[in-house]
Amino acid sequence: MKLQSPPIKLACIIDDDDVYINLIKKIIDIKRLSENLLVFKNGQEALNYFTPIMEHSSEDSFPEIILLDLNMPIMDGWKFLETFTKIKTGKDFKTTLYIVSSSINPFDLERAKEFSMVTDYLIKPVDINEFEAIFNKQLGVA
Amino acid sequence: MLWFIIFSILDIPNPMCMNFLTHKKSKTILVDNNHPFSEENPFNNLYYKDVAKLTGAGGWSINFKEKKSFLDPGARRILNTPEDYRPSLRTALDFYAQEYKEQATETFMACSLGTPFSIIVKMITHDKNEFWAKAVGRPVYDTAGEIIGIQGVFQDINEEKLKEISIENSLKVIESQNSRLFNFAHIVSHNLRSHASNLQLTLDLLHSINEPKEEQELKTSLFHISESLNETINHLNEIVTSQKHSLDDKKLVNFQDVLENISHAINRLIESTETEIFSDFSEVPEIEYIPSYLESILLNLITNAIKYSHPDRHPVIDICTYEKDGNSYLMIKDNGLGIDLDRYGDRIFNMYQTFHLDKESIGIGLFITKNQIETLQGSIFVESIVNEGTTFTIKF
Repeated sequence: MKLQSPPIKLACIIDDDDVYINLIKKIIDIKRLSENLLVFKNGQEALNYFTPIMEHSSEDSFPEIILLDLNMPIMDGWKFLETFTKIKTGKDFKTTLYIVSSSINPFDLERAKEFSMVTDYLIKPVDINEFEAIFNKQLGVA
Repeated sequence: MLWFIIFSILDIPNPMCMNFLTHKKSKTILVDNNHPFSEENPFNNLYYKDVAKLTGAGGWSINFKEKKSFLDPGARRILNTPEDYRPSLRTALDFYAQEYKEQATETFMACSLGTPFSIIVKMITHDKNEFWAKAVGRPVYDTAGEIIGIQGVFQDINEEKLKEISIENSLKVIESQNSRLFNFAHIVSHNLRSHASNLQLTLDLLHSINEPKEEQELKTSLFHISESLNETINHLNEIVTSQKHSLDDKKLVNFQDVLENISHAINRLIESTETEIFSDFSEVPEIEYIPSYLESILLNLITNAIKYSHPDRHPVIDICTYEKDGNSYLMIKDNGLGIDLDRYGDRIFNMYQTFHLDKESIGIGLFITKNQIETLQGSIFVESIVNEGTTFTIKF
């Protein structure tokens, strides 16, 4: 496998499943998909990080890609999306957000469409090739 | 040969003829001698008897001018009035069930002012048996176009109506069971999918690497996945078990007995946390309920109150029952951490929703509790103030 620089600098996972997080870390490592990875265990932790960054417009520390789980303690994916949409309004941060969830409930899929910032709804299991495709697509956009 | 009969309805000796008046102001009705409706027709009486028998209908009329009320034999049969019963406007309302008296009064008033009606009401026979009836009525005009009375027909539809009500009720039960099943199916699918997804990713990765150290790590993660999968299946079993009892018989359950059983079962937890439980079941000491449900509901709420107690104080739990508007309520109040309902309000009864960073929180307790309460057509409400405590109220 030829070594090339990863398609993106900073990716972010918001998910409370430790096993899943470890697996994604490994995939990103092995496939060299991102230079760095931010991990938050729930929506609140993620907001605690994003809010000050957005205020200070430090775009470098803003992830280019966010993989968001829905069902999490403290603050779930929906509440995160609602709050995040509000604070992001008027600010120009380039980020692509994917919902990655185990829920195949049509209600959830419909609800996801209400958020313009959600690029796609991916249903777990997402295999390695799909992950690779998402990250490489990001390269094409940028 | 045609007979032209011009009549004012209340002059007609056979009152069944009244039914052929239209509510239009024209009072001229064309009647053929050979027509079965004709008074002159010898089959007339039999015909009406058959129609009345077939439809279970009866006729009535009220003449405002002469202040006379009339019930035909069909109506008398339905209302089971004695031979010598004399209908009167004053007692007419006695034939309507308490909850329909107001509607009946309004309907008759409107009819006497010119509005015909067609309603379904609950009526009462002379010997005080309730039954469902379909009733139509219309004003009666004289030749000058003045309203001089009202008349109509009613039909005993008790059997049909009771069947309809029972079907409606079964439908409601089936709908709620269906929606619970649907939710459960999604929960099962969601929870198993998480593990299946991790399993697949791990195997994918195992294929694409050949470093022994990485391989070893991935094998460890396989163990973790298997453990979590087992845990999930145990939770699902717990829910299935909790719903299995819904077919158990209801019994008269004593709140105090149930609380004592629970206190005994979790005695150690209560002592180690120095929890104080106060109870007052004097207003509603017992209730018809599925015993295992009541036990499970109380146990869940009490252990929750202890689990999410405030670090600065020992848990104090107040439990009481009361009655309001004919319903029984159970209230359980704690002095614990409280929940921010503005934030979590609609989610606290969902599965796998946990609101405190507590390793022991699984998030199925309240989900099961709500399910059990709703299975028996009750409801549960929550009030809470962060750092002060939470109150759950159950309406049975």
